[in-house]
Amino acid sequence: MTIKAILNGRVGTALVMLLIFMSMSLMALGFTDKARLMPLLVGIPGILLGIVQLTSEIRQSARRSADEADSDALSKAERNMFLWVFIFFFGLLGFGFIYAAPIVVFAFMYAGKKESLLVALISAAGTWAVLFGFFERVMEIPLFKGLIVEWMLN
Amino acid sequence: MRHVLIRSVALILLVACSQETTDDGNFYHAKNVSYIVATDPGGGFDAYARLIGKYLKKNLAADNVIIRNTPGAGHLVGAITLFRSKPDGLTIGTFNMGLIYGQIVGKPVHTFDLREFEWIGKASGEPRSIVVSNQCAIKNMEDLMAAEEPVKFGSAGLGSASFSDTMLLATALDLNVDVIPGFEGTEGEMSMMRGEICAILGSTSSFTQFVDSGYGSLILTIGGEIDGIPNAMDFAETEQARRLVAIIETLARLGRVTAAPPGTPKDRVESLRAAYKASLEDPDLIAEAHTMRRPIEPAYGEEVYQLVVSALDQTPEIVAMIKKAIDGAQ
Amino acid sequence: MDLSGIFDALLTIVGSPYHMSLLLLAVPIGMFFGAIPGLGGKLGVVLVIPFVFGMDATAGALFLIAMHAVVHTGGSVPSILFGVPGTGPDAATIVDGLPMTRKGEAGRALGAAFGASGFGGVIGGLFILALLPLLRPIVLQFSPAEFFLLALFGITLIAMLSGESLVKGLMVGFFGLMMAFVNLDPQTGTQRYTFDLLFLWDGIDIIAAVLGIFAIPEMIALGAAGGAMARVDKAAASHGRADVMRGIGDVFRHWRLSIRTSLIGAFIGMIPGLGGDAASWICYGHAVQSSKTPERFGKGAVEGVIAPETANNSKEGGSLLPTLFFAVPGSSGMAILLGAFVMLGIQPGPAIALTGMEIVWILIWGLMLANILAVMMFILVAPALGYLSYVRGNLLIPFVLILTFLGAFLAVRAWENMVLLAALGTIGYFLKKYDWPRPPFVIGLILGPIAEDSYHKAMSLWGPAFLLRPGALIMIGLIVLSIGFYVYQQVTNRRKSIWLSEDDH
Repeated sequence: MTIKAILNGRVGTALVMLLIFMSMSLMALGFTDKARLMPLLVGIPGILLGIVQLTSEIRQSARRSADEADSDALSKAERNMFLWVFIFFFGLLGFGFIYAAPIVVFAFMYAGKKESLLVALISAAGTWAVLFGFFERVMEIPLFKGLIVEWMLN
Repeated sequence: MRHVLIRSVALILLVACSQETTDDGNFYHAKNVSYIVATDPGGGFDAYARLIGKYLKKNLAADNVIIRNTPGAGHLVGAITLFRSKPDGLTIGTFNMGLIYGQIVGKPVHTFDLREFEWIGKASGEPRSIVVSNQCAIKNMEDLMAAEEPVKFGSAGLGSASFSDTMLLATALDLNVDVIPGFEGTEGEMSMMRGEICAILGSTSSFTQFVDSGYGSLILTIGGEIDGIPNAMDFAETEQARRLVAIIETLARLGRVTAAPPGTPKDRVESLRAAYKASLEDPDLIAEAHTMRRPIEPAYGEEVYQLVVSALDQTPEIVAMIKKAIDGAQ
Repeated sequence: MDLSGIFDALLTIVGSPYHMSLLLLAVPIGMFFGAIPGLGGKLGVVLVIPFVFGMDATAGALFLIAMHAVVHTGGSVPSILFGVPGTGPDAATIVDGLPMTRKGEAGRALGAAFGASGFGGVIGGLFILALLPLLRPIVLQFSPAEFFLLALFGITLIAMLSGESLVKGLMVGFFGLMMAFVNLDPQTGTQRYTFDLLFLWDGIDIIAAVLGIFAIPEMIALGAAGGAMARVDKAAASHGRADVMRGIGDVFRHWRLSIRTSLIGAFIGMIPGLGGDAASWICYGHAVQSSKTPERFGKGAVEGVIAPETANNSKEGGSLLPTLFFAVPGSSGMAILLGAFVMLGIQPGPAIALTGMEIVWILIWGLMLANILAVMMFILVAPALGYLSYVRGNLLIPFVLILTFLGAFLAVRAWENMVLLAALGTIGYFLKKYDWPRPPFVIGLILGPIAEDSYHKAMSLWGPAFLLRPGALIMIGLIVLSIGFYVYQQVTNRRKSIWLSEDDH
């Protein structure tokens, strides 16, 4: 049972879940009686289940073949997609929907997935048209402007 | 050639700049006003804002009045957002004045002073009443005040204006009550129909259906006049009781307020107040409001400010009483 | 029961070109709002109200109810095609709808969803027609005690939806419950897990949770794997009208299930405070439980699409009852409709039984007709929708991602919800990757507040004796039966597989 075999995503996820239950139950002890009842009622069984699951994952990891272990790691493609999701996230967070959405859509299609320039441009334009034309103008729903933009405006 | 170019650019710039002042110096011309509403779309505050916003647009000659729903934390998010908005006269907002309680007891999250808002006005008050279920042994105020067993009252969650009002009144009139929190919206009325709780203290208008259908009756009113129903102030025996009831009455009178962020230039505040007044006195708006069954009992500018100040100005003794009454583990 | 009045109302709608054209306009608008995450439900109705304001009461109310009735129908489209729930309750459709798309059966899944929605809507309407006289006694039977136990029953469903790993399923479900406790506790005013953030005072938003747990992981997986949502060669599966009709036929092939889930949904909708959101999940759980081959669920079982979709639409019919007769909204969407009805001059409340039955019948018929129209309109455009499942991911993902973040923002008008979305999306991805079942999370999140709130209220009102109320005892019986049945199924399956392996000799 090598340490390396155990340090993998499955065990990690089980561990994180267990830690979440433990920390939330611990924090619940600081609440008043009525407020901590339910959190503890759910949290403590959660901890017990977490221990069971963690042990099970560790045991299974030790018994697995090298191939199976590899497929559990995050592949390059997955890491790449994760990166894109966060690019979208930070872009929208910083610059809001009207400005950032067309840009990240374009970036994803053209730079990320190597679609043709035309397709990427049309997609970006369409995104802007829907967000600005439909949401802001027709429906008059003000969309988030982005934290950086709001800071600059104030 | 270059001279011509520079001269034409200068001319264009001159014309463009002068456009700003061609419309009688109306600041709001061709501008968008944001009307922050501290609730989700669809509620009372939202309805009033959308109605008034329509007429404000006309009276300000603005390009548009856009409703910005900013819900969360019981009107706190909306109020704080309004407080921190750029005070250029292009942002106004509406929220529940129940936040007064939080400021009086000094809750840490109240990082703003309600007195510092530039008060535009209020559209209507929200008188409160106590409604009792017809299944309850309590039939009037005398019964309630003489009750030996704690009377079960329902209210919204802790921290809400509903809960605070109920606890404050109970303290002021020394009522023997057991307040059960967590009844949002019409859940309280359903509970009364099932015979679980006996009474609720809430906005009178929200009980009309309930009473008209015969499920219950009003036994007390605060901040409003109803024929044959006693007023809370009638039962306030001590000076402190009167002050506590006065707070609830002020809140009832304040109702649907509209304000601008602190620091908004005086002239723009005046424009807003004037447009607001014109809107609320517009017979079309009054007719529309009537169809929506939303009363219009306005007050403007200074009057609203004075009400706010009077509610917030309390002796340490009263503050301590209020704190004790609405004590949650905050 | 005034039969002539009922049919007069139907004629008022069908016989008037004006009313029919309003219906034809309202249905696509409602479906469109439902299909865009964050727009369906409350916001859509609020935006339409100014346009409706000038109409007469009948026309206005008809338009609104028709629009509202089909919101969840539209919401099933992105759920099935992309794994992005159009509205909260539509998330349950993802669990089996998305795998069907992967198998190349998107057309069939959409057909089943629309057919089920129409079916549920009609049954829901008929249900309330039948139950009108009994409304008051039934609704008043449900006190906090019954609510608590119903929530508990819903929570036991978590186990049923755990697939192969009970421990993982329970943990995810409990995780959902813990997330439900993140709030400013209305019972005590205590800050729980809010870390001084005003944003968390009202709890973890269900839309951000559903979009994060389901949609984000799907997009990441699709982007990483490449290709289209459908994992099957285009030639191998058809997505044309035949496929769609087959899906609609499935609803009638499984008619017993369809009727049962429609009735359960309508019943849950009828009880205000029960949480219409939970209806689709409870019916999904019921479908799993009542199936002879529960292991097919989660992998593209068409019953897994039929059950939640019937419930989604029938619950709206059910929730009309308390809204109209008690002026107590049966769901958050109904709360807005209630305000709109008042504005139009309709007076919901017990008085309506005496003077306003005409409008009640019109609304019920409007609900049913809208559902039927939705199915008919859908049959026209279905093949095009099914084709979307073959569009390559690169063209789909950026738009879906934008829509997801937009939906999270619009749900509570707060950018912090987008942060929550990203965080839950990350967690959701790892849950998906390492085979942790995700539906239990949503159930925990939805039922947690109901369970806790009802428990404390019941204790305040009756003390522990609340468990002895007749309604409560019935619910306890149901829970015990449900668990017992689950255990029985597990044991039988295990025996079956032992028999099978023995037969190998």
